[in-house]
Amino acid sequence: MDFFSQISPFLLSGLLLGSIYGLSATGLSLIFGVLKVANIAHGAFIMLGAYVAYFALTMWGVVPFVSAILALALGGALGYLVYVAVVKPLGLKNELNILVALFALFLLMAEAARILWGPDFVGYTWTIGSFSLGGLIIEYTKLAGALLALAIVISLEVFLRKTYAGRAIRAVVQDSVGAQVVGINVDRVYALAAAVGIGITTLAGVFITLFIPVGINPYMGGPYTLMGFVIAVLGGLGSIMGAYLAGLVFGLITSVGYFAFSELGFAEPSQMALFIAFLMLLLILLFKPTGLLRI
Amino acid sequence: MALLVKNLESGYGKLKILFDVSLKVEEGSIVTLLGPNGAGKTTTLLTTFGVVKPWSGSVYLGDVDVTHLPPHKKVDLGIALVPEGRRLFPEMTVVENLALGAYVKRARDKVDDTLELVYGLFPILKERRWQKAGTLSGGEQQMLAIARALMSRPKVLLIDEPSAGLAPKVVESIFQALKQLRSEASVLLAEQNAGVALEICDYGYVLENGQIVLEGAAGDLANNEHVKKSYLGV
Repeated sequence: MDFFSQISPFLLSGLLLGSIYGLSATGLSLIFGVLKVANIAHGAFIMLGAYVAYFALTMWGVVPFVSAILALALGGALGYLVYVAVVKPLGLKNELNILVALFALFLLMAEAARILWGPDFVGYTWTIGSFSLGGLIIEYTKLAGALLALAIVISLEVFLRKTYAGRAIRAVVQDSVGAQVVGINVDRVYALAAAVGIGITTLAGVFITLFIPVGINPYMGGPYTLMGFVIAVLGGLGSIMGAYLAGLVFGLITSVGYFAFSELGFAEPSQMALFIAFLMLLLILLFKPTGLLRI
Repeated sequence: MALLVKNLESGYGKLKILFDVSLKVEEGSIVTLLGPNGAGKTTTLLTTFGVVKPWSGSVYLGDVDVTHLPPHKKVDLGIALVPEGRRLFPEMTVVENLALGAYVKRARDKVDDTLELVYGLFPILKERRWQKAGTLSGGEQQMLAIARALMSRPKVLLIDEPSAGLAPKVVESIFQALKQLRSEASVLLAEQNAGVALEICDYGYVLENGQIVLEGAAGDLANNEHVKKSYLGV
């Protein structure tokens, strides 16, 4: 088998999974851009979305593409609550307090999930077939998930550019005092950004289960918080399209990295691939701290 | 009466900045608030606008008590602020900045008319309309900040130090434009540069250490010994 046909499945799976990574990082990036708050609890909402996908399918037979809507609504409501009950009372200027509170929320959600749903890995099987492209097997569910993720990111970008509410969000990102001056209710924009950001994150949690159908667990969130930050920083915090593109890049690097390190005989190729991703974060912070794109 | 500020007191944390500040802006007039750095000029504007919460006293827009309304409600009722440091949206074009200036519902329907108005006042903004605000010169940014505030169709315009950091020639052209604003809005202008401010205003107040120490018609202030010595450098 030649090199190209060996590596192309990894390129493809990197792109497909990268599309989901990109989607989840847009939520993080939006919240950071607007509220200047690092949502450490990010991974917990991914976990929540994963459980939504699991229970919707196994209990009611609702497929992930439909339960994604449920996750968006649930995440949106929780995001609004996080703003009103956690971020606002602490005061946006107390960044450290908010960071600690969100870390507490992360732990609280993981433990609540363990009490409610048990500590074990759960999963589901759901296939709608696959097709072959030049020797590559592509599952329809993964392809549809990746394309839908792209469509959602584009819709979000259109919302931010074409609607008054979206423009108000962008105004707050660029200068919150300026936004106040033109008559924008900044408090409402903060609540909206938290709701949309966490809604999208939870929705992305549903899509992630298309790729790890048996990896659902109360403690699965941690690595997603880490990866989310690498991707959001790579894309330029606050930039939606930047976060998405960075997700694709991140997916490609970890997937191809996995291939390369397993070919080279490393014991833990997926850990090594993550190492490369974090090395990348370090280099970006050193040499281009504004990321690939800005809003 | 367009704007009435009565016995206003405010500050930051426990630090009181304004002591019993009262002033009024008649309809169609330009009123200037003179004073040295740190006198409380910016705080007066910010408290009037609602970014800083008043401790006591009141603010009336026409006959309406707006003392405790948040900024976005004040903009809706007809008060606009050109803030210190301009606070434009740097990554947006001139047109996008202006469109956001007309964010309040009352102003949205009139966007096209108001755009013509501000382009007439500052023709350079029309030339630069597709340029990002962050790439404009300091003078152009100041013009854009004033134009953005006008986009909300205010009855009263609060302007904070429009001359700050600008070359005298640029200051001159901005103040010439301000002079023409009388027909659109009443203006309260906080300014350190007493020379240019007194040239275009009708009435003025002098603020020192958070208190109004002097007031009068522009001509009288220009001839006042204290103003001459402390602010006009003659």
